[in-house]
Amino acid sequence: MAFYVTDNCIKCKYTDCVEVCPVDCFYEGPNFLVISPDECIDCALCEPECPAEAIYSDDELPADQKHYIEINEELSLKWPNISEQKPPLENAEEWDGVDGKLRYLEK
Amino acid sequence: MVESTANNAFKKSSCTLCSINCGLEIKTGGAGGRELLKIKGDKDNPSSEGYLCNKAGRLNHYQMGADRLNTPMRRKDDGSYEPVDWDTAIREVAAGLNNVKQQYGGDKILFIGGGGQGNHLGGAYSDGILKTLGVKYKTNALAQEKTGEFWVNGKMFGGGPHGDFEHAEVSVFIGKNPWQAHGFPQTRKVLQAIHKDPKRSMIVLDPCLTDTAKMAEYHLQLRPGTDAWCISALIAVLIQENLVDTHFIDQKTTGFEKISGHFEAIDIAEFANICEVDEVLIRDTARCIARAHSVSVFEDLGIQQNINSTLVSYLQRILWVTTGNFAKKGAHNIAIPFVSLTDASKGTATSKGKSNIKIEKKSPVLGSRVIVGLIPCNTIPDEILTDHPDRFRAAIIESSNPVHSYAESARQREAIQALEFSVVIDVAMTETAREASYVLPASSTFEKYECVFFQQEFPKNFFQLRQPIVAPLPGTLIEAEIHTRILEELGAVKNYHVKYLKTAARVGRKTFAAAFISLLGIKPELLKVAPSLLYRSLGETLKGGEAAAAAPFWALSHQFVQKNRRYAANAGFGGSKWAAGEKLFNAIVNSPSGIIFTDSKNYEDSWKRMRQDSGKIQLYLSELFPHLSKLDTGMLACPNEFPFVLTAGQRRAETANTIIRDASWDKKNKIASLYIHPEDAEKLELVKGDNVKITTKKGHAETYVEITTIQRPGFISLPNGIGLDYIKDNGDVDRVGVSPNELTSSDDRDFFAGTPWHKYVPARIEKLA
Repeated sequence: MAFYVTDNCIKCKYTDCVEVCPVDCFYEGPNFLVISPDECIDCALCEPECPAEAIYSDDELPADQKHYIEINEELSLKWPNISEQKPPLENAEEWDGVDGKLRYLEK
Repeated sequence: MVESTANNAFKKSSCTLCSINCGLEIKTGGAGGRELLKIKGDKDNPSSEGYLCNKAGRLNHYQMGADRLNTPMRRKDDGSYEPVDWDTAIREVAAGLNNVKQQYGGDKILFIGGGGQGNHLGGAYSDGILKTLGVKYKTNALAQEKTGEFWVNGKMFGGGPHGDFEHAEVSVFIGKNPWQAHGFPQTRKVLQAIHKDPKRSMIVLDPCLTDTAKMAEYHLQLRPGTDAWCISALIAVLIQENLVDTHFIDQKTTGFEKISGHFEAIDIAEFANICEVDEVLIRDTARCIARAHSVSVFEDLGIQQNINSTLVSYLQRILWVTTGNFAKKGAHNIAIPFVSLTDASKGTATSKGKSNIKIEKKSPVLGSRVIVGLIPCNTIPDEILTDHPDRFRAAIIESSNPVHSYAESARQREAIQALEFSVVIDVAMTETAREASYVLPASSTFEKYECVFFQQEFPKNFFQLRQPIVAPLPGTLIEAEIHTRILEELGAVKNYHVKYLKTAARVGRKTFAAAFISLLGIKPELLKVAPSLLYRSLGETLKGGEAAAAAPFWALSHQFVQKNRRYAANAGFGGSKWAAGEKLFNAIVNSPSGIIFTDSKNYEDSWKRMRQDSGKIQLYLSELFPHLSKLDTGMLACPNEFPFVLTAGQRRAETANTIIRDASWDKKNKIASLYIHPEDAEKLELVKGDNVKITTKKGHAETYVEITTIQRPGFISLPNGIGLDYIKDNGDVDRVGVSPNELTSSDDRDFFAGTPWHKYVPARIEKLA
């Protein structure tokens, strides 16, 4: 019962999702956001907000994105919390939709 | 005035889908500036603090419903409707009601309603009409859910204790899935905090493996309908193993000696067998409750709409009273509400002392028990469809949809049709409106000043007067205006009284108070219509008249601080009586996110909230206790032709309540499925998505199946709040899913409170080609 941020957030980091989260469960890295699955209350408000369509509920996570469950779990324990929207990363629009961005993930 | 054009600023409001009313911030705009474009949690709301669930985000489907009304409607002889202007509608509705009063008496008019979640302000004004017409009988959805619980609370405590789940060491949920149905502020956050804390635990009694049950340390997945046996067994363990709090029982309760023998004699193994729950699990659960420093229990529709519901309400309270879980942190406490639900329901909230109208304790035809002024919803058809001379002849129906929402739609529809006169006040052309003599269109809950109502938290309690965020839909009126116009037409609100009060209000509040009190002194009968008088006079001075509907809160604020000086002062509303009342009222009107209006500070004060002569909790209730030794397993037997037990109205992620009539709010289109366990599906050779016919003794319906281990074998569920006949923009009627009350029976109801058995409907399923 949680939502997860997946590949297409990397190098975009729009942060629209952060603004609507009722329990402030987003955590921020240099070029990616994650959700703490322990804190997420399954409210689904963030999912439609993401311009990059990178957020999925656990039951709708695409098969090729399942490894992001572990990434969200791990990085949410390490990264600082983010509760307010900020400008997206430079060139976010160009990176939006590029496949296989995991290799660019900065931890 | 509210801007009707697109506005980038977020405006404060609240969710109106459940009783918790989480604070919202909403950006409006879109079509005609009337849409709720973006919705997020309001971090300034002192109760919800920014929290909300997935359902609030879809409120635009309510606001922009295609079947909203924008003109009063009058029924023609051929059953169709014609629009009429407001003056005509008010004149004819007042005349219609008055005719019934003259011919049969005001007590032959039934009032159905009292507002929806967070849409209760109309209740303050309709009260004036009821008192003016002499209406004695009311009902609303509480009388198909909570009346048994209210009765038990009244008898045992003389008040309504509520659990403190934020702090409880052990939280017990009986027929309750708070993850979906909430019930206390910031529910999902609280549940997660309990789940993560190794020192705290959760106990769930539910036949379903609900989202909450998945988080629980103890899940008693009992056979449907056996809660009374299960809780009896839990109490039996406490008593037989000497786990009760004898000091608390001796000092704070009466009647233990009359009830203990019954539980001493219970064969726990036999009861466990009836519930189909492991005896060891029952014993461990009881020991967990006994060990805990604090326990809070929440019962909900899973038992309130099931067989033995009032008995279960009684039993679960014996469980936590005998373990001393009252008047302390993390346990049950009695809140100080701004307006008492009981008084509001009985119509005594705005009266000085007792109401002039004595509410009868029994319904006129069946002699059903009237609890908090309400007759059981299930009995409406029997109170109308009869030759009995005391049958109801007319109804005023406000923000309620009995034809869809009460048991056995077909009979409810027939009953409304059989009335000589009926008026529906609602935002949409509901299933009930389509049977009424007149339909009066109300402004939506986001188009007017409105308020929250269910204030159960302790020691601090919260109240929010919600401000409008869009202008009223042209052609609609707020309930305060509708009721006041009817009262003016009935001659109960006189222009010269209003003028006199208006003049005083323009001078100042103190002058107004003196004028108001002196007028009521000379004409005490005006107390009946005090809210409308305040609305028309003092209301004019509130935010330039925009907040006029809030005027009754001025009187209620003064009344509240006089009764609760210390608790109001603790919340910042101290000083002289006058100053404190003014301060509270001004804070209510000027705090769009709501306020904390009372703070008890001391949990022991719950004892002072009890209205019991003895000052002690009554454990022995003579009306109910004898039934505990007569629990009948025969009630659990389903006839051969109906091998399944159906829940007609399960709370799910995709369901809310019927104020959202447009089913497209469920974007994933998962809303309509019948849940069935894999074992049952296999026997019936069903795979996911297969269409099935569901048959009960009262009707049948068709839908598709979802195979899930959430269900127990033999137990199937349909979702609540769907199957509405939604009239789309093009006039087509769209029905998604099954209307649960096409399958339920109004005869199947609790022997005591008359509440329905929606969670225990014998049914069968057939696979469709």
